[in-house]
Amino acid sequence: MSLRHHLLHGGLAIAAATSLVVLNAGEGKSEVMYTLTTQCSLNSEPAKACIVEAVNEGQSTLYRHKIGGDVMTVRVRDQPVRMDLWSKESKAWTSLKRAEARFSTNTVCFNGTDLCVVNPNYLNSVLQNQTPAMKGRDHVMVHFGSDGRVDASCYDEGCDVVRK
Amino acid sequence: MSGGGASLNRGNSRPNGGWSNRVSSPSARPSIQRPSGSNNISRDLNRSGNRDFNRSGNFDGNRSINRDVNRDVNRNINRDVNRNINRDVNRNINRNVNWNTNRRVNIGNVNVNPGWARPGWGVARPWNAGWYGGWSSPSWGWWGARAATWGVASLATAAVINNAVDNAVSSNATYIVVPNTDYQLLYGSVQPSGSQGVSFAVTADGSTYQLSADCNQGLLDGREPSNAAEAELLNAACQVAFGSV
Repeated sequence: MSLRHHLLHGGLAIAAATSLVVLNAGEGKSEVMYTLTTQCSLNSEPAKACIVEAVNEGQSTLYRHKIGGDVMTVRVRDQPVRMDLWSKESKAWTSLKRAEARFSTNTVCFNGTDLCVVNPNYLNSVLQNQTPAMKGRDHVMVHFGSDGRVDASCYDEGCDVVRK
Repeated sequence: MSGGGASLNRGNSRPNGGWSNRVSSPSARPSIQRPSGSNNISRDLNRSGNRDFNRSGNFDGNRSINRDVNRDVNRNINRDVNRNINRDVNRNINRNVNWNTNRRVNIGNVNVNPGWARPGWGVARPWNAGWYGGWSSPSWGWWGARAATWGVASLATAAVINNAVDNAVSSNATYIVVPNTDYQLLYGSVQPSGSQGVSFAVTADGSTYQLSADCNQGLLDGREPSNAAEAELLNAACQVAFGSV
């Protein structure tokens, strides 16, 4: 086998390795944080058993809600906070209009009561991460503007004011 | 209202106690409505507000002279008696407890505010192992045989302890007073250890101790409770860790 042949093989290997690194950096590392067996509700209907899979993927955290044969995925990004719902029809992310949480029932709801889920993991994390802002709060809601960014947030009775 | 304040976030930072994998409590139903039977701060404020207003409005006018005389006499007597009793009780309890001084910890180093120590704490407890959610007081196997020795008829029920935690959460207190004792259980420090064990921090006589217990065998730091107060402490810590809510 000639020297030229060796160099050619080596070059191809390096190129392949380099492209793999670039690909990984672009996609971001995917890591399952937890899988939670819990209760979900769709459109204010009675609760159903569901499984929440929380996955860190690059700059996003994906929450896959598996309810029967249906899957609803919410993507949450930070800085600034944005929340999107995966649309199966359009195969694209659509910004949520609002999200809210009730600590005393461990419930998180997206777009009103379109999707509600008992997820104490999420709330425990939020509470510990933002202790001063959350201390003594029970109901928390954020509203997203047309650009997908938070344009209003409220706590407890203050949310009645925001709804008006 | 805070414009643009991000009060909800990605929720991807691992809370103390870790992630739960199963929400098994029958009370776990997705609802954004405030629970109807729950204690809440606004309710407490209303009650105290009404009472205070009524009393002060009626009493200020006519009765002030008589009351002052009577109150002085009674107060002096009561204070003396109470002080003496309390001192005796505290000393006796501490001597009986005889907890190992190696168990003393700096209360500042005890994590009393994990994410689950909040309204909804029963469902939010991140562990799902062992007796979690499936046990209810007072069914300890160790209790009946020893109760007579300690001279008490019953332990505090699950409801009493749950209410104490609920009230502590509502008032931002980091501890509950264990029923029928002077112990302050730092409920946020409670963590399961295996399927039937628990570790927790408790304050007694100004010192805080990190203790462990076996809820099934009824052992406190590896030995039987030496009195009713220690049994109550064991019972309370096990209820916070494993009990139904």
